[in-house]
Amino acid sequence: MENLGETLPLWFCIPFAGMLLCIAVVPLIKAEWWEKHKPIVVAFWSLLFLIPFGIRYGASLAVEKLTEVMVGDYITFIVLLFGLFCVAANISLEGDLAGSPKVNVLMLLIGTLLSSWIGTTGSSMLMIRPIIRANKWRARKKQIVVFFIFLVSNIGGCLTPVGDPPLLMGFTNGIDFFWSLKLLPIMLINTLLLLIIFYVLDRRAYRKDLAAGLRPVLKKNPEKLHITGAHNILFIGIIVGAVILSGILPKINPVFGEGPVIFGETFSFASMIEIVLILISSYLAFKTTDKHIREKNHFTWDAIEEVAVLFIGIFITMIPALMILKSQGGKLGLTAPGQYFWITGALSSFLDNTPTYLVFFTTAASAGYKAGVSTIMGIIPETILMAISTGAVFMGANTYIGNAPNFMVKSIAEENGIVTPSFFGYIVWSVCILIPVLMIDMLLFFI
Amino acid sequence: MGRKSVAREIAVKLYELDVRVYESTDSTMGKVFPSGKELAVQHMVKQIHSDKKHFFKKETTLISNMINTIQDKEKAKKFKNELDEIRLMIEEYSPAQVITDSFESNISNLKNRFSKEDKKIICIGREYGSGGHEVGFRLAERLGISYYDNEILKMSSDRFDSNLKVITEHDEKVGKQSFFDENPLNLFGFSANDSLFFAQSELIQDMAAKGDCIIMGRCAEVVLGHAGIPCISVFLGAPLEDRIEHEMACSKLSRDQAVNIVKKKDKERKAYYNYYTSRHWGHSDNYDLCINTACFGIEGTVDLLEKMVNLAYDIS
Repeated sequence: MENLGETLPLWFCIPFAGMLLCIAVVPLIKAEWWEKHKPIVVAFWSLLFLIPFGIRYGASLAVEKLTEVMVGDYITFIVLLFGLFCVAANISLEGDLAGSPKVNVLMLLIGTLLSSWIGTTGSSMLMIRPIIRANKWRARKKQIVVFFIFLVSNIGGCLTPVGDPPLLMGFTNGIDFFWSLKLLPIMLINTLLLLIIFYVLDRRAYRKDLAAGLRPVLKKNPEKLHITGAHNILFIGIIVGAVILSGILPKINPVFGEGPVIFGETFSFASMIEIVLILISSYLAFKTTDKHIREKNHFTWDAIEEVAVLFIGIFITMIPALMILKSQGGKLGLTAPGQYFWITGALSSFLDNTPTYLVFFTTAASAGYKAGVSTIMGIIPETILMAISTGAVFMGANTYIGNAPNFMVKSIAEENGIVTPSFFGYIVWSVCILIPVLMIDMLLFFI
Repeated sequence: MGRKSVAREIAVKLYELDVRVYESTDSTMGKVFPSGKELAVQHMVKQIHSDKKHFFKKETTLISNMINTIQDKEKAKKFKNELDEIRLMIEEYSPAQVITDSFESNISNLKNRFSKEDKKIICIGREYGSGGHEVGFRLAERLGISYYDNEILKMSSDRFDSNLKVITEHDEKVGKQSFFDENPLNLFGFSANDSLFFAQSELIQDMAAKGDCIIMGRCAEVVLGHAGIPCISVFLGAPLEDRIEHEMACSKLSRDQAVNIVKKKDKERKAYYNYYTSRHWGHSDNYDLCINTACFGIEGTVDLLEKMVNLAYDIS
C-alpha cells in the first residue's frame, strides 16, 4: 500500500475534493434537492474513485481497499456514533434553564470537561440538546453551535484515550493511559481563551435578542433542573467501556485481534464485541425509556442518517489521499514540534484524524530519537507527541468534517430550527477564532 | 389587497405554519421563529420589504427540515404543500412597489395608528428632574385613566416574592454585573436586572391589555411595540440647570447632592434604555413627541399632551 501511495497520481483525490465541494456548496444553492439526493451524490463520487482505480490497479485491489475502509474504519465509526446518538436521545435535562451567556458558558465548560471521559461524541450527543433547549427563546445562536463544536466536540477530548480515537490509537501503540493528562495545561488555556471569546460574542448576541424583543417565558415557580431517562447514563458508560475494551483486548490476548478475513481485511473479535455491546446498549436504551422523552428531545433518525450517508462517501473517496499521506508523510522532513502540530492538524481538519495521527506518530517513532515516551514503534520526544496529539484532536474542529460529532451537532441544531454557518462559513469562524488560539498554543508549547 | 397586506399575509402564514409544524413534532427544543407572533411577523415584514429573500430561504429550509421529521406522513404532506405555496408567494412578491403603497396609506400618521378598539396608552420616558412624574400623574387624572410608575415596582416585588428594596435596587438599571454574581430574584442564569426587565415587560403588556393607562419609563413604548400594541410615546426633558433646581426644590437637597443625583439617574436610565432596546435614549426618532418641560411648565406640558391624545384617539 505504501508503495502504491508513492506512485498514485494526485488526480485520484479529485473525487474527495468533489465530495467536499458538494457538501459545502450544494446545500446553499439547492437545499431541497440536496436533502433528497444526497445518497446519489455520495454514490457518484465514490464510484468516480472506485471505477478508475479498479480499471487501473485491478478490481480486486479496489474491492480490498473498499473492504479495508468499510470493515476496518467505517463500521466501528458509525456504530459508535449510532450508539451514542440513540442513548443520548433518551436522556433529557429538563427544567427552567436560562439561555443566558453565563449559563451557556457553564454548559460548554461541563461538556468540555465531560468529553475526555465519555468521548467527544458522547459528550456532544449528551449536551447538545440541553443547550439547544435552554436557548430556544433566542434567535441569534449560531455562535453557540460553533463554540460547542470547538470545545465539546473536539478540544475537550484531549485528556484521555477515551476522548478521541487518535489518542486511543496511541494507547494501543504503547502510550500510558494517563499520559494524555499532560495535555491539561494546553486544554485549559484553549478552553479559557475560547470561553472568554464565546462569552463576549454570546453576550452581544444576547443583548441584540433582548433589544429585538425576545424574552424567555417566565414561570411563577421555575421548574428545578432534573434529568429524565438518567439510567441511560449507564449505557453511555457501557459504550465507552466497549471502545476501551476494543483497544485493550488484543493486547491482553492476541486472539481478540484475529477474526474472519473479508477480502484481506480482518474483522477482529475485539471490534465485534465492541459493536455488539454498543448495539445492545442502544436497544436497551430504547426499550427501557418512555418514548415521550425522545419526543421532547425531538428525536429523529435524520441526523444520523445524514452523517452515515455523507461519511461513507468521505471514507471511500478519502482512500487515495490517505494512501499518499501514508507513503509521503515520513518524507516531509519534519523535525520541530511546531511542524508536527500544524501538519497533523491541517490534515486532520479534512482527513480522518486517526490515520493522520498514526502516520505522524510512526514518522516520529521511527526517527531514532533516544529520549522521550516509549511506544511499540519507538521513542517519541514528549513535546513532539504532545504536538501530534493536540494537532490531531484540536484541529478536527477546523471543519465540519474534521471530526465525527461536528456534523452530528450541526444536523441536530438545524433540525431544531437553528441557522448554522455553511461549510465555508464555519471555516471562516475557525480561521478567525480557532487558528489564532492555536497559534498561541504553538508559541507557548511547541517552539 | 395592498402590497403591505400581502407582505403581512406571507409573514403570518409562515409564522403560523412554523407553530403548527413545531406542535406536530411534540418537541420541546424550540421552533424556527422563537419569538411571539407579532414580533416575528414584524421582523419578517421588514425582511420582505428590504428584499432579503435569502432570509426566507434559510428559514423555510429549516421549517422544511422540521416537516420531514413529522411521523404522520399525511400531515407532513399537507404542511409541505402549504410551505410550497408560501414560497411561491415570496417568489412573486416584489418589494419595489411597496413605496407607493406606504405613501398612499400614510401609516405613520398618528391618527391612523389606532382603531376604535385600541386602548389609550401613553408611554412617557423622562430625564430625571424634568417633572415626568407630575406630568404623568396629572395627565392620567385629566384623562381619567390609570397611572403606573411605582406601582410597577410593587407588582414586580409580588411577582418575585421579593422585598421592594431589592426590586428598587435593580429597577431601571443595567449595572455592571460580574460573571459570578448571584441573582437575588431566584431566576437561575439570568442577572437580577434582566430578570426584572423580563418580568416588568410582561407586566407592562398585561397592564396595556387591561385598560387605558399611562406608563412611566421602563422602555414601555418599545416593549409594547414588540407586542404589536399601539401607543403614544413621549419623551420629557429639560435643561440640566432647570432640572437641578427642580430636584433641589422637591427633595430639599443641597446643590451638590442634586447635581449628583440628577446626573447619576440620567446615566442609569440612559444605560438601561440603550441596553434593552439598542436605541438611543431621548433621541427624537424613538418617540412621537419630545418636550422641553422647562419651556411649557408642568401644566402646559399636560395641556399639550392632552391635545395630542385627543387628536390621536379622535376625541372631540
